[in-house]
Amino acid sequence: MALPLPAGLTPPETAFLCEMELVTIIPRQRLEKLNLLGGPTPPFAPPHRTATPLWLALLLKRQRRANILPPPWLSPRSLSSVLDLEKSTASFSPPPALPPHTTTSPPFLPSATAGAPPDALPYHWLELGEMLLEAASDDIPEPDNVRRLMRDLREVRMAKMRAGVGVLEGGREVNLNGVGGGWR
Amino acid sequence: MALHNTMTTVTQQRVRGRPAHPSGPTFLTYTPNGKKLVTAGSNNVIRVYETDSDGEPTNIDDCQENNTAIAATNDFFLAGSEDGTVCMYSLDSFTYEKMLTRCTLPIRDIALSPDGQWAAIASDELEVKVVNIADTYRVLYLRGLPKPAKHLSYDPSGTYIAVSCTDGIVYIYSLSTEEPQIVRKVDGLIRILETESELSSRAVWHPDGRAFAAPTATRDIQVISSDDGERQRVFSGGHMGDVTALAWSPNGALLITAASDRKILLWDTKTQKVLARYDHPNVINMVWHPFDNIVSFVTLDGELFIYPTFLPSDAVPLLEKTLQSAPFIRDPLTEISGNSRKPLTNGVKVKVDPRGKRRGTPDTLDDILGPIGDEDDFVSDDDGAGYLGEVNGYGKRSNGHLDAIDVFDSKRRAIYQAFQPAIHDSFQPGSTPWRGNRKYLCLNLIGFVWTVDQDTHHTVTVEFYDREFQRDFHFTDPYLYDKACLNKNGTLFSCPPANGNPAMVFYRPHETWTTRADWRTQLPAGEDVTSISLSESYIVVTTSANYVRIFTLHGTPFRIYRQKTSPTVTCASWRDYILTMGNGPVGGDGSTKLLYTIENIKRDEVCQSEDIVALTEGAQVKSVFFSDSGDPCIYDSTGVLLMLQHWRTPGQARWVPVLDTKQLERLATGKKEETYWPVAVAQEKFHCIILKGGDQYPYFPKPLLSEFDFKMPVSTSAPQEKPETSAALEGPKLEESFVRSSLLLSLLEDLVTSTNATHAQRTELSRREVEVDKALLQLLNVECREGEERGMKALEIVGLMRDRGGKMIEAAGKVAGRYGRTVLQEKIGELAEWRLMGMEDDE
Repeated sequence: MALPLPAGLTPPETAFLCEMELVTIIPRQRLEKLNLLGGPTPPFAPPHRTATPLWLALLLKRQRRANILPPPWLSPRSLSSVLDLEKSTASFSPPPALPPHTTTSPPFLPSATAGAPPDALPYHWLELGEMLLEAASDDIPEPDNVRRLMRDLREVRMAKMRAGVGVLEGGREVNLNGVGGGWR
Repeated sequence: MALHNTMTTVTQQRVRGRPAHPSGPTFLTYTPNGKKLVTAGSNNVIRVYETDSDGEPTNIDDCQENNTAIAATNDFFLAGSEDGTVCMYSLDSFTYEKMLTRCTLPIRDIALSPDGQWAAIASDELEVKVVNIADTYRVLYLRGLPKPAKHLSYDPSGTYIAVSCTDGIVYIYSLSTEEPQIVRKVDGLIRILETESELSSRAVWHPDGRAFAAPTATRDIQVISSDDGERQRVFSGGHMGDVTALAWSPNGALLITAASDRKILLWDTKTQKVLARYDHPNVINMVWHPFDNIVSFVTLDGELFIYPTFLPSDAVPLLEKTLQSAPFIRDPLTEISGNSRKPLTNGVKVKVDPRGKRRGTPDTLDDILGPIGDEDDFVSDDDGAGYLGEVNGYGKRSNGHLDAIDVFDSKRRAIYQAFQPAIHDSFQPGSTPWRGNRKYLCLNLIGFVWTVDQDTHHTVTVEFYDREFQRDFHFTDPYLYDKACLNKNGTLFSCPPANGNPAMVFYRPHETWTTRADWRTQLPAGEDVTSISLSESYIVVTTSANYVRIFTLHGTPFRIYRQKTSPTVTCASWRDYILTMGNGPVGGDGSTKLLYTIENIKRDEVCQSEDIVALTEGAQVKSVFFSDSGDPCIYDSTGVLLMLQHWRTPGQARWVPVLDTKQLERLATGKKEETYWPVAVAQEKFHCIILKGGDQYPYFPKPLLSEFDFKMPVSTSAPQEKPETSAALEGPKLEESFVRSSLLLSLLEDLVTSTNATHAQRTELSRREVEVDKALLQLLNVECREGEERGMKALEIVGLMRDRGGKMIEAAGKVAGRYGRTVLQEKIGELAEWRLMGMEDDE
């Protein structure tokens, strides 16, 4: 019997994949190292910043045991500069440059921690941004503005991809570099 | 209201009103030299009155009708009219000179800069024009107002303009940039008034330039400090009607206000009490004579009143004082405790702390205003317009801007010329000065302690970052604590002597197993606390008598001795080690050298005695603390974080820069302008608070902590014009990491050898040794890749390796081999053999 699911990943699945991304938190209470299947979590010592997977950060945030430091690109200033760039060119704004000598890919790159580059959107920008806005909007400066810019950016990229489909029919190719995952 | 019993309704002999203009809005101004008084009203005649004569005024006919603003210098005056023109008239010939500017809508206010070269003009348009008098084509625009401006006023230095806008917000514009910028918005202060309203929402600068006053919706006069926009003292409970005019006396000691309750009130700035009431209806504009006891005002009926001997005789001495300070709740300049706000500078501009010498004469002008803090002063004199420009050799504002008032100036200067060394003020690390009625007593990685001044008492709040570790607490504090320390064990407070009570130290442990564990102890009378420090085992108090008092955690006096260097500056402690800092001998630049002493209290050993705190010329210490691994750190005013290396061995200590915040990558674009307020050094990171917008200290709401990795200023990273090879970029980075890891290794080595090191510390030590070699190996890799000709440097790098087991040199040989540098590989092999035989020895 076939599963009644459409092909590809469902939104919960893309969100699940994104939850492996590392984000920076400021813990509100001490917590020793936990040995989990995915590897040990770092020990928490407030007010030292710690990079943890997003799922743990969200869990702690919901229990008010931590504050999440939004990645630098999730600020109105960065988003609007990316949006301006996207509006003026036909391609997508470039993804963050890979650090030298790495072979890993998202979610194993620290692309959403406090040290991430502020001017480039990482692979999981859409899901991560949405999740942070949903769970930790009080930690994000100007959340409404950020939400609006994210939506605008999504629209712009969506429009470009739709236009790209027309090109595909001519047998040519469309460069989707930097567009990110999580599209449905 | 308590004020009412102190007031006196003055019934002077009534001055006859002079019918100057037909009824309607009328305006008046004195020339700065006080010789002439100019009035304008709703008719087309402008009148100029001579101050000392009762004769008829000089009339200037055929002006514009319905004048709405007037401003004058000694030579000319400007009149603005409802038809949108601003005209300039000569005061020599009493004739029309030129049209300064024209607006499309009615003019509402004109303010002349203190140097008389620029006129700021508010009209019903949305921008305020600032027009150059000599060249009327040079115009600056104050933009960004959502509604038209009603009033304008220049600060006494001419650098800022306060714009009272009709949207109920006071905007402060800075004129120091090409395009004037809003530096502050003060919301909720003034009422929303229409531009043609007869009521006033004018923000009037206090003559000392550090604050302005404005009428509020509650008919009070609120004073706002200009450098932080905080509410200061308020002149309240006087008027029963809305305020229509207000003016500071030329020396700032008195304030007069008129309101629609048909009263003029005279207030004492210092006490904010009403000194006298006068009955005068419909007063809409009021001015003080620039130096005499004369107040003139005009009414809605167009009548002009010139009051000679306006003040009641008991208030006249107030007017004769020199410049008085604005009424601050906590005057940052009279603040003795807390941080040293005043920088210690060297070189040409020797600035001297007068307080030590002059404690006997409070409330003199110099005591109150003090020397000018270079970085703290909101008002900076950019255009050389005077006021601030006349800083004399000792960092004083001279009273030159007050014209005739100060007759002692020349005499005083002569006295000042005697040599006085510049002394570093005492400060409490981690605390901020008062701002408004709040200040942080202590900010560190455990939590923060802050206090709120409630006039009769303070309320102290202690909050922790780790909310599970301790619950936040707060208490009412009748002792007015002004210093605090916080660590894992408890909180330490101290208060200065007050009301005949001696200074006191109070310690409150967080956890106890007895019912009562907090204790307080009083210092001998006359001794004040200069700084306190709390470690895991001792409490250190330095006092104004130059004593260092050491207590155990539960209040047993343990040791007391006099500090060799005096006056004391500050102290810090970590476990059994204490660091005290004091002013040492005077250096060649006329300021004292800061000296520090580190000792171990338990073992009674001196580690460093009277050693120099290495500062560059003109720099000063911003904060002193121990890192989490117990190494002393200082952060200086040039933004460099320094750590003390080898400090456990007498004579071996040296200050090593571990981070220069001016070279941080985030500042590389040059767009950001921020400073860093040091909090702590922990886990090899510098924890600080980022301050933007020229702030000097963190304020409320509680700021976020930021952390930066160490980056020793080894070399500037190459400009990124042509990143031809990644090696060119990698090289400096690796070099820095080598120097840094060597430093961290040596710090840990010292720690391990001097304490009973744990196993974890020893493994950490060997890990660090490997790290140093690893950095060298990477450097070697870069050198080999660069080419054969770099062989000599490559070999030198290999020679630097510590390499106990020989593995690293072996790896180095392999690296050389991989790049095909056979000669180098051979030489490395030789080196390895030499080492193995122990032949390569000292020097």
